[in-house]
Amino acid sequence: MFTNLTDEQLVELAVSESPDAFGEIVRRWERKIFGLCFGMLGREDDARDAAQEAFIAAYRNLSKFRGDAKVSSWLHRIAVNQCLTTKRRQRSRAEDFLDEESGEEDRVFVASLSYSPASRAEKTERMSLVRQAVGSLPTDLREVIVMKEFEEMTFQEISDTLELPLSTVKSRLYTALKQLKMRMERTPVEVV
Amino acid sequence: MLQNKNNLDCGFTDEIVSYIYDELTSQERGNFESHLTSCTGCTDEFAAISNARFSVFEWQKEEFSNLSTPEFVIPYKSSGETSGKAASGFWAGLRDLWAVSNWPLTAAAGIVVMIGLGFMAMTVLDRGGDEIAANITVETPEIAVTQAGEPLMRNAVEIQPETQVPESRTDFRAESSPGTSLSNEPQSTKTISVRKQKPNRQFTAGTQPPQNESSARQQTAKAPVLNTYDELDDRSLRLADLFDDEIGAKR
Repeated sequence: MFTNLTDEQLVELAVSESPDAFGEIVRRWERKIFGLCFGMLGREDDARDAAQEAFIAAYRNLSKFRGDAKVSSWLHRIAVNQCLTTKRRQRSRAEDFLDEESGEEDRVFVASLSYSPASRAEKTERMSLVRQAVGSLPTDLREVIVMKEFEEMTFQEISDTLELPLSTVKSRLYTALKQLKMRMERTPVEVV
Repeated sequence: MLQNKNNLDCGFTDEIVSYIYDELTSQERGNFESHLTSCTGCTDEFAAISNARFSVFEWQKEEFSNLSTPEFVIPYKSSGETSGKAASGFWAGLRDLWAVSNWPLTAAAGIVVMIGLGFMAMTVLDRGGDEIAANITVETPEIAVTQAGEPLMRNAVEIQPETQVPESRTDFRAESSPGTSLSNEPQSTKTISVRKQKPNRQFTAGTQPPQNESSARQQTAKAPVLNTYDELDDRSLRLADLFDDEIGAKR
């Protein structure tokens, strides 16, 4: 029904007469937004919740959408903001948890891995390292690398979405990968 | 011949990421590969960046690519109402309910609450007034003893005029046994109890104390004879009355 319409036309339709048109926007972008949230947050359940909240926030603010920006840019900005909010909540919760039970989490983490097969443990450890390194990147660098890897967007698409020059996207991606490499080298490998 | 061993000012840095992500044209790709064979700086940089990129790629393949896309539920609104499938959770549902712009219903509920509060306030004020009035009448209570022997508090308005006091006092003195009715007695509770506890009064000369209850009742049927009633006899309120026996003995 709505497949022939552009994102911008769908938004206009959803605002004016048919709210269901927003469902087509969700269908088009749900995988990419989910991937963006996963790359930004590193956990499936957090990514799912953040993406859900992002779509709801977008729907509630449809009337505020400015036609001069692309819908994809608008959605990505909402999703990134939602991820940052989730990160802040996680940090606050983690601080509370560490205040209450200092050191207990580390012991549980090491014990659970020590019972895994060696190869599996090594892979899990490597994934954990990457996840931490990506998570520690500045937001502007992280969102570029996540868009590239998890949303599989081209440089041009990232440029359009973030409304940045193509050269800036490339240099940000280059910087992101360099910092990622340095952070992974600096991070000590945990004993399994 | 290798060149640019320690720095990357050869102008191919942008091509490194483009090459890694396969976003070069065939001609650009050929040029960059030719450059790599002769530039160890770009080669080292390419290896490092490629390794970092592979880590992210591996993480994405390992932990994300197998995930199915979750079903996102949007709380669609149509003409000011939310649909039934709107909630993404309890709190989201609660927020949706709160977000409904149904101001006439909210206003009506507010009015009902205000009326209820006003009614409660009036009730409390009325009770407060009654309590104040009760406190005032407590100061001048009128107590009657019913046939069952229970004291009754009466309103101060019902206090009889002063002229009836002697009659009531006479009645009281005559009917001093417990269980008999005492009425129109504007005295305090303490006074009554003293009288009840000391039914044998002192009478002045010329008057005869009641020999028993039956004779006392006969006297109550008559009007009191004021000239036979000596105010001095009314010692029940005085401390000396408590020591009647002692005084009589001295006499």
